[in-house]
Amino acid sequence: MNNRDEVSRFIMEYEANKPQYYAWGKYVRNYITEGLHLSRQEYQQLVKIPVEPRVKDTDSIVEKAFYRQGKHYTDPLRQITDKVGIRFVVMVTDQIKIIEKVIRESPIWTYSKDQDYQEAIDKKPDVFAYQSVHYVVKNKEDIPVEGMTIEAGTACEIQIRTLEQHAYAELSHDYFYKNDGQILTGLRRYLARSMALNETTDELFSKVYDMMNEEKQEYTDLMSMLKEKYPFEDYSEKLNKSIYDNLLAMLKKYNVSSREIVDSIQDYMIENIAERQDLALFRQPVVLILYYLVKHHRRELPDIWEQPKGELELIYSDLGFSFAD
Amino acid sequence: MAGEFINLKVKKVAIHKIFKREDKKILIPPEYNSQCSSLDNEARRALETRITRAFGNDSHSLKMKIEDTSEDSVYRNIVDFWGTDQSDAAFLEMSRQLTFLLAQAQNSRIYQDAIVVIVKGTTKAYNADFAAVIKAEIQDGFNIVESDGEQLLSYVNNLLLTRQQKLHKIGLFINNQVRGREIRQQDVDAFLFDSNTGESISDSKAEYFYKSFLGLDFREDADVITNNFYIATKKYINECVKESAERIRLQTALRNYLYINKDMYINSSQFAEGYMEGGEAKDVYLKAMEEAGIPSTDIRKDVSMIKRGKTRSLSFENSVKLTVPIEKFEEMVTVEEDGDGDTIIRIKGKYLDE
Repeated sequence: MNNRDEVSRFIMEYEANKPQYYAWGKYVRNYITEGLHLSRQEYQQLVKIPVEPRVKDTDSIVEKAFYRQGKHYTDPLRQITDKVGIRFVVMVTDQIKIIEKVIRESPIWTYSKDQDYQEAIDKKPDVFAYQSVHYVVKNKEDIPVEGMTIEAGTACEIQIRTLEQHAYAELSHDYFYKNDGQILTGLRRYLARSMALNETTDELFSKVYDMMNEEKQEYTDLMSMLKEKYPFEDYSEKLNKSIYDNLLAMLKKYNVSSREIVDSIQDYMIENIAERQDLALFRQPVVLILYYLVKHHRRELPDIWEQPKGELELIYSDLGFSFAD
Repeated sequence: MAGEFINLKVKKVAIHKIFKREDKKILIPPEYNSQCSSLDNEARRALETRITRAFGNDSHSLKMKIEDTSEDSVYRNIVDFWGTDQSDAAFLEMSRQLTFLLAQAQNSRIYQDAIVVIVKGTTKAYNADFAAVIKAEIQDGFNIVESDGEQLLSYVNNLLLTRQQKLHKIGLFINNQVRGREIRQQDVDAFLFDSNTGESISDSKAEYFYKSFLGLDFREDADVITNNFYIATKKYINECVKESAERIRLQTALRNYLYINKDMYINSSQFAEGYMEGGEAKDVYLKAMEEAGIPSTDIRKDVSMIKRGKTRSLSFENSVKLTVPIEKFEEMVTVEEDGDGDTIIRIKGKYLDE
């Protein structure tokens, strides 16, 4: 049995340590964020909810340390691993691995994977339940942070899940610690169905990502081939990509390969592009695709062209075509 | 046509002025500019695109035959210039000579004051030399008396940058010979653009420019080329147009284009624009015409070689044939497909016998 003194001592010590826990959570978050080596835009594409360290409420840690059934801690302050936690919410399950990699490769902490839903699925493939990956990391050495010291061995829980899994977790949160028998059968059924649907959605989302990545890869590859012909040092990614997107349907329709585009480039086109760096269109690598399309589809191109038509005239002119407004 | 006007570059221009005659027998000496100029980027690009617009594929230019190669001809002046070091002085001298020849050719009081722009440059992927003479009539409000070289240049800049202003008449010569070698007549191609040619202008009105001045004439194979145009277009319609109603419509359009339309010239691109829907179909047609060797600029219309029966004969897949008089085809017969492989023909007239 716990006596009141033991509990109050625990509370005092826990409250006193809260700033360190918070600082540790922030440190772990920043460490992982930097370890991803992403641009701001790429990071925003990966992590969908801002990561804020959360220190456990005193009430709930007391409940967990002294009153929860089936748990017994000899040194709750050190044994409880979710005093501070951070959560990374991503788009699809494949992206969870990106965060995991940084956690696993860090030399400054030891880690344990405390919850792996994949394992749970492997054991009970017919159950659809809470899915989230939980890691606990503990610093190997004391770390000085913001004038405090994070004592070696301080735990921080890291949750990684998808938006869909997060929605499920939020929805089912109130029932998480209840025994199955305490939840209505109908409710359990709905929760299981939601998770089953989540898995399907995740698969579809992943397919979408794969296709988008494939297209992005094609774009990137083609642009680097074009940049070998001329450096296009001042190009605007935004303008270039929007023109490319405008032309994509036509490139697909005629099954135009990157090779065909590159092979059709002639020296005089490069000379003319070099001479026209005062014009925005000629600063974009995509202008070389336009030469190809004008050459082969000079009447169809203006039908789909979304930019000002006049910009095309120099290309028509270079290729010896009379340009009709 | 091959890429005569690919990569066209203007290097220098010389601008002079010629005057309306008071007495048709007395030539008023042109006002010569004492220097030639490189245009600024904007004006140069504008001039380049204007020339390609006038002469490039799909344009209304004509490939011409060189007739006059005498000592005082435009041809000889240009070829001689190509044989020099092409210095500014040589270019200016040649441009003055051409301007004088034009003033000489304008031997009537109907010709207004005009600006003459002589252009030298290169064209084609391998930078062949070209020279062009542009005659543009002077717009109202341009003060001729006070104009000097700089004012003329800024006037030409404005002229070029105002799209509405047409370049009235242009003659253009390309040297296909390797630079430095002797240039023979067959090495030079000549082209004509005239913003006034069309149904209402008779050849004689333009003759002073292309014939008296430039020493050019129409090629003699207009009948062959017109016939080739007809055959290639017919073939395209029969082989590439899927819908039968559309095929019949285009066959009618082709006959109208050749026989009813009063234009003196025919042009693949004009036919496509006039009768076809959507860029994709036009591209397929123009490509087919290029592959058949049909020039992609104007062709002087001469239908004398086209075999033209008095009837059109429509064939159907089960050996049924329908013969319709060519005149008023559209008024007498309508042909439609019902989508199930049957054709519905409506004949305006009673059945007689067989």
